[in-house]
Amino acid sequence: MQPGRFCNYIHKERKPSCFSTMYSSSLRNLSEVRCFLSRHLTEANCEWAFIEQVQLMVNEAFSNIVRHSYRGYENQPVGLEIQISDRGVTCILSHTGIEFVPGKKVFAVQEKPSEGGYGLFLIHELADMVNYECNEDGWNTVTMFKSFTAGGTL
Amino acid sequence: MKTITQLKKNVLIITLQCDYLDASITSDLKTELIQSIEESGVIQVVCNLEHIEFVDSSGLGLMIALLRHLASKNGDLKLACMSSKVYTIFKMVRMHTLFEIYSSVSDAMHTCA
Repeated sequence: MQPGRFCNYIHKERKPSCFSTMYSSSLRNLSEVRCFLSRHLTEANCEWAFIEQVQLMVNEAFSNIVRHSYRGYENQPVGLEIQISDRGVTCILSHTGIEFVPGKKVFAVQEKPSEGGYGLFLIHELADMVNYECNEDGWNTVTMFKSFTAGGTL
Repeated sequence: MKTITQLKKNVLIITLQCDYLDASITSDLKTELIQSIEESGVIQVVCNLEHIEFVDSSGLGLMIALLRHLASKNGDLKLACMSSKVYTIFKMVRMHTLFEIYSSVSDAMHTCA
């Protein structure tokens, strides 16, 4: 599967801006992922506060894919596609690792704080929609939509 | 070298030199910081976050790890110079209630026993 495959049928009502790239499954690529997002979202005249929220949302999903879906193995493919419409931004991360379903919303800090577990919470707090899809071609996709006008608590 | 440490009046001041705390560095950084704390022999620590512009969940986890490490020795970790955007992320996961957060290192120092 190529990350650009969704471009033709999401946000049909308007011509979307769509950008995609591919990374290897290394946490060292997190900075580049954030740069990719800020570059294209800035060009699309998104507000900086909105861009930061998208950066954190995608950063968390990318980290989860590297650490859990690929169990830390590097040199595996992670696709990133962003679609910008007049409604918001859709970010699609694709990978061939183990299924990672970000459907469970965990809670933030409890009485006895844990060192981990905040990633999924942040994803769900920041995104207006999160969807996981396992495709027949062996690629799994995590799709996150963030509206320009609703959701997000930053 | 991601940190600068200073020992003042039995308080270890750690200044993070990177501008982000993400999963690419937090594992090594945790080892480095705990080693610095152990070598200093003190249990009161102020972490200066003035350079930090981005924190992800692993960065939040790092702060919790340091807090727990120091608390186990009856010490404490105080945070200083946190930017509003980083504070917003702390607040989102309700971690702002776990830490004493000060606008300056000197303010944080004054509260250390």
